[in-house]
Amino acid sequence: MTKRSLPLSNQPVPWVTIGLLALLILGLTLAGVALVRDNPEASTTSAIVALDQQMIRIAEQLQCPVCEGQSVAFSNSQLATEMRRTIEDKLAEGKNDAAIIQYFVDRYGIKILREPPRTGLLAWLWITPVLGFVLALLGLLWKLRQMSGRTIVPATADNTEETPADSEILDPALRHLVAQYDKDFLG
Amino acid sequence: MSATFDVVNLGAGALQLAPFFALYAILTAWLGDRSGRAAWVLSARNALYAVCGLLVLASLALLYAFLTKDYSVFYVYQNTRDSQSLLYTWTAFWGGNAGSLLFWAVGLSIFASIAVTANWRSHYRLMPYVIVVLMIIALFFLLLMLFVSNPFRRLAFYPPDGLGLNPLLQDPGMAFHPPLLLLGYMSMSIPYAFGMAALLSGRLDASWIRATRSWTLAAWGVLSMGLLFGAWWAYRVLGWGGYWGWDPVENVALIPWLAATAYIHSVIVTEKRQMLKVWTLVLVILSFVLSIFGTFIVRSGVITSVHSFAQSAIGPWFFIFLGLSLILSLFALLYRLPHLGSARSLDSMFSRESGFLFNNLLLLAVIFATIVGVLFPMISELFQGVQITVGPPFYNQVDGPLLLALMALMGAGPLLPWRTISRAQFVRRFRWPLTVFGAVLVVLSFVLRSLWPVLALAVTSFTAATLVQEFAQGISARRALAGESWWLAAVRLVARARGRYGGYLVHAGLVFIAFGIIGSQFYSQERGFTLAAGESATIGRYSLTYLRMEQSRTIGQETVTTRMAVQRNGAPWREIAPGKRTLEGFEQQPVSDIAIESTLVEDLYVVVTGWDDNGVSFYAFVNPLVSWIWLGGLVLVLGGLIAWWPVGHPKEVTTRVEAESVTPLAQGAAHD
Repeated sequence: MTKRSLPLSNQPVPWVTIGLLALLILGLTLAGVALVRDNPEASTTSAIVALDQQMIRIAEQLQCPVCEGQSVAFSNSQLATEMRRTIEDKLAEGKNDAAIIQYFVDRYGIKILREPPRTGLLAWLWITPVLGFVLALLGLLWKLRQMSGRTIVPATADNTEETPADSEILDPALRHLVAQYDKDFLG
Repeated sequence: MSATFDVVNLGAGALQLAPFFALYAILTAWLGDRSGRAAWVLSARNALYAVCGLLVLASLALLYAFLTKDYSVFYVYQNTRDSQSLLYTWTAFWGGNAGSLLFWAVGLSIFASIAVTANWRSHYRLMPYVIVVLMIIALFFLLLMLFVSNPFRRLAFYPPDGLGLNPLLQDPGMAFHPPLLLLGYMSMSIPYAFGMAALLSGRLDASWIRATRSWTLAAWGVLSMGLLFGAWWAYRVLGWGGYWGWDPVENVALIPWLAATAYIHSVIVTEKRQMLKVWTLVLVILSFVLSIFGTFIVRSGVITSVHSFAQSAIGPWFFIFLGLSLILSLFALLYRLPHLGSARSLDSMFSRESGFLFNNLLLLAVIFATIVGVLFPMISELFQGVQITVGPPFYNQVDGPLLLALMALMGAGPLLPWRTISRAQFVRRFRWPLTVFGAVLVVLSFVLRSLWPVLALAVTSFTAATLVQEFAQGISARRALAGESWWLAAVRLVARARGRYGGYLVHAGLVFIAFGIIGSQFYSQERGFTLAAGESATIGRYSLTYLRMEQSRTIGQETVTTRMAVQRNGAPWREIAPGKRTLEGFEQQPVSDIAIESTLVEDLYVVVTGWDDNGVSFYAFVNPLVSWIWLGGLVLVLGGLIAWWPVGHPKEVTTRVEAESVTPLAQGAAHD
């Protein structure tokens, strides 16, 4: 099975090392991610007012009306600052997320939502791309079937391109050597 | 003063003269080719050079008006003021509508001159139509400037000072982002012109493919840089802790880039296997039309967004041009359809050809979904009277999985051989990447315990492993055969097959970027605090202590800086100085000076939101792996440059000839 994998020198390709190396690099990167995640929750010293995570979570779902393209959560604008304060007040009153969001929808319309509701005709926002993708996929599969039906010379492992270490990466002289090698050893 | 007036009038005159030369070039090139008069075509070329000269003159005149701060010119009055620094007086050139149109037109005419000169001999028979198409595009922009948005429009009086450029745009990121995007957009015109020339003239041999390929790669590279600078600017200036907001203006910049990416992949199949000619032409047309669409969306103000500072009445003009170019291009394509048959057919579903086709499918699906997201608010307002916002949640949910599938394909594609794959080949080529995929999936499932980030990281690792394997295989093959050192083998490997290994470097850049996006998308932390002097707050492993506030004033701007000491893991680390800047003339619109402390693991990102007697309020973000996005951007641009680099020196020419002679050989073998 591996006899054609171009063992042209005495040194075999160090796959194990390469695989481990790749894993090591990835492991290090991922350790960074995991490390950040495993940190303790943000904490504050006594005299500090920490803005509520819950407030940010709600504000992130709302579009800042005066600075389009940004959510209420981190916008610098006056209005967004006031809206954040309103969210905090309502949370303090014991209102839940849905009620607070509804409060803003009633005042500003559904334009305030960063993610429009999936009801009625608005559902087409989601349906259209999915439908388009599925249709295109079916079309491509159908076309591929149709095209592959026309094959005259069936392609097999013997007449396809061999290893990637072929023409594209080797000099002409070297390529000749490879061809010679293939002929001698692989018949 | 009178000298200034003369220069501006000179520019205005040049702009008025240019459309006549453009029209002359269109007519003589067309008629010259029809009647077989070479002298006419030559004359058309000279007219194209004249258009270029006139536009360069007009641009220099506008620059002169900016540098001398001639506020009697309305566009100069709008976009600069006495206190504005020299750098941003330069960049104000493309800060508004009229100037960016002029920038488009002058860039197009310069690129057109280069393309025509460089390809005059090699693609002589396409040239008349290349001139026709490019000059039609130039004519459109010239008419737009003359009739709708003239950069040289004078005011009836001489204002003492200008209004100035929006302070958000007065940032180094913005000095590069818009011109690069505009350059990327406009350079898509060149491959489009070659493709259309092939269709119009009926000369549908391989000639147009070679010409369009390198120009699309160049345009793609420039657009990539434009997008990266845009993301970098957003991260450094807007202060919401992110770099990409799926803002309509960002989206319309992304979609021509995706179309060009699809083209760059499908053209490989066209070149190597003489297949998919029609499809490749469709992608050339699509890339251009989407570039015009991008300019249209940004410049017409159809959709207001963070970036759409400029709005004017050019919308309908663009709309008509967009519609016409789409219809006429597709008509030309349908007309020549019988001559664009494939020389070969497809052998198997599991081959590199079909890999490229699935890549195209996914890229187009992302383009389609993104266009739906951009246009849906307009459609819903028009037909239902309901105003809605399509924000990041939609794109994350719809484009996210498609992009993940593309990443998986990026790992699988290079492993698939042309035509078909056997079981033995599959095992040999896929075993290591799939092992890495499985290992990362299993290990991370225990550590992170959430589906999407784990899957995304595993898929990205799969692609990374494929790239490592491809490079390792190539390098060790060279070493084994030629006895070269590791370094030499690596350098020669890339240098001898630039298209392939440059492309792999682009893939590597995208792998880095994907790691950065996954890290910051799923694992960023954000908190808001209000601190009095001496108090401290903690986020992640950082502890921030507010020390004091400083105020300073220079010409044209006032700066408030807060000093904070940062401890990391309990040990003193760095001192940061986030603050706010207020520019003269924009007192209501202070800009944040965001403190960003980057490491390879994560960024600490601090934005001051306000202050009063009690202390200072600020947001702090910990954004993991963001540096990898910029690092990946560098690798991507480098890879693009290598893939594009023309085969020029005598030594390389031999390599190219060899590479071309290989194809029939391989095919001969294939048919034995």
